[in-house]
Amino acid sequence: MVTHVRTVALVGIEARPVDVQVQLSSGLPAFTLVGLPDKAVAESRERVRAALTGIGLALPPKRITVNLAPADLPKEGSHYDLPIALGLMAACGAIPADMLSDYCVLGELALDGSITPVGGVLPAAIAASTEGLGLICPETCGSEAAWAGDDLRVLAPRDLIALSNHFKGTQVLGVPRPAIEMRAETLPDLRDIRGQESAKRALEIAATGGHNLLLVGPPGAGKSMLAQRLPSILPPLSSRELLDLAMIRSIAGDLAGGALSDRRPFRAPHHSASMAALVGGGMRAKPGEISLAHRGVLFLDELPEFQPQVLDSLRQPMETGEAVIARANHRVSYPARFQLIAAMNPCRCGYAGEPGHTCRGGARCADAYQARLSGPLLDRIDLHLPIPAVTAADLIAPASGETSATVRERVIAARAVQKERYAAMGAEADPDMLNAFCPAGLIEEMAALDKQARHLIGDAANAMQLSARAFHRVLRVARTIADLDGAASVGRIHLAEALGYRERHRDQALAA
Amino acid sequence: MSRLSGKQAAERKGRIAETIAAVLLMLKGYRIIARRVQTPAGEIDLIAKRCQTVVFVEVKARDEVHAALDAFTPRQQARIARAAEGWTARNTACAAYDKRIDMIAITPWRWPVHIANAVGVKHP
Repeated sequence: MVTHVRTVALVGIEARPVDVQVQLSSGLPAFTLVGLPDKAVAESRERVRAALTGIGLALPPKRITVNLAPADLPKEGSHYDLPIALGLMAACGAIPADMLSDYCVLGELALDGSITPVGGVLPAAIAASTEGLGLICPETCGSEAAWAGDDLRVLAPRDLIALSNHFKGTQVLGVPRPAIEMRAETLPDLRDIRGQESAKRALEIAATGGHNLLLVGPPGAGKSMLAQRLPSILPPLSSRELLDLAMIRSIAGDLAGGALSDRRPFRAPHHSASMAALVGGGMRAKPGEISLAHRGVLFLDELPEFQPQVLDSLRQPMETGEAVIARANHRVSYPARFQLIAAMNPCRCGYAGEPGHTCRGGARCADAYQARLSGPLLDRIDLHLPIPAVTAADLIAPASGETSATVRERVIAARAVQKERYAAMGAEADPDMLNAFCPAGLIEEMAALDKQARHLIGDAANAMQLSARAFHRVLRVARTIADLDGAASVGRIHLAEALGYRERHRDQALAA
Repeated sequence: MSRLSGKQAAERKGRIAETIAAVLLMLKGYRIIARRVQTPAGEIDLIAKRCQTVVFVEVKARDEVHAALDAFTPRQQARIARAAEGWTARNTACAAYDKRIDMIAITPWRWPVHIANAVGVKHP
């Protein structure tokens, strides 16, 4: 007789159904596990045997064959322990087999029979709820699974005994509730920054339209301080975005306690980050920093210090909003619609362009340092912002700037305008689309340039040698500025400001 | 007994131990269906049957229980498993039965120790 238990295999953020088949047959005792298991899955044999011994059951002295179907899909991860153990328990009559048919099961087993947390519970829960199945998952992942919907039956037992008691009806398990992450600590406020009014304005534009921003300035000017205050002016995640992001974090095993937060992610990897760490990948494909920054901010401090190849690997995800990882035995794609905020010094010694400073290396100092960044990457950054050193007068003056809360209100209002506009475009557009991710064809229509503005962009495109991409990016920034202004169409003034943020061509910068 | 050579003494000790083990199994409700079965892979001391289970038994006689248990080495376990496969192949009447490999440790002046499923689960 064969017992079937449903579980899932995680491919990217997709949960594919996997059928665990357990057969007991007569013959010399043996325990065979087939169906392309990797090392962690093959080792589950030992964990299952120990866990069953731990709760007082012995493996039956029979030939045990476990098949993970479909047999051609590589299985990785430790979450197959629980379905295999439950299949075995059902096959030897310790729990009723018909109870299991209504559930999708995942979890890792400890040697004493307790169930330890695994990643990917949320995608599995969503897959289970679409098929009308319940979910059996580790206790600590219960609140994470509960996010998949109210109609999903979730069982989150602490150990195998609790589960078998539940099936017997002697000790029924409670239903886990979705948890919201409580973050007591407050974000740093924009008000702490003295001076730098133009930088704050650019930050507001970046926050509104989701544009990429590069801050260039001498050490101590407040670049990192500015970037760290960006999350405080970003609007909260919508429930759709929240779930979207939670799926990625669930796969990365990053959802501690299963609690979700509506705060946008802010990822700031160190500049020693490798390509696999940033984009995702590795031997077992995992989402990288850019996917964990999905719908949020990726902050790269000291941009030229990153390896050039690593930075250039960001080019394609920045355009498409997803990271496709192709390996010999994997092809997975993770969503990565992130906003890049980068900070850098203008040169190696840090003070090029400051009044009264001459680099020891001469003009080559700045050139060589900036040449580490590729042109195509810089072309994808909409807002280039020089941050001058703060003057003493600014520092002495009392803090008088706006608080993050006021700026945030403006950002939320301008985002509502965008949402309304793109929602009017029809269902095919992403409902959470921002100006920065608007397709090129659409933005020309959306920008609705007036006559003067049309004239200006024509002249500017020639004079600044704008690429086709740069042209559309200028339009997107101008659209955001107009949204902040509450204007229906993009005027000359909005366009002029947007052009001002454009990177100046290197030759022009030198000539000036 | 002292006049017998070392090999003969061991043989005799083994036979006595097997008899004690067979008596123990019969007391537990097993039926002994073969003794000292020679197969190309090796010898099986006892083959017993109860309900739908055929049990292949390795008997070890030592002065200490631990010494007896330690004497059933993985190599011997593999040998008896192969021998059991061979015996099963020729005795098709038992093909549908569950099979198990047990060991019985015989020590002087102590009750014999019977360990069911002593080889445990074989990994292919």
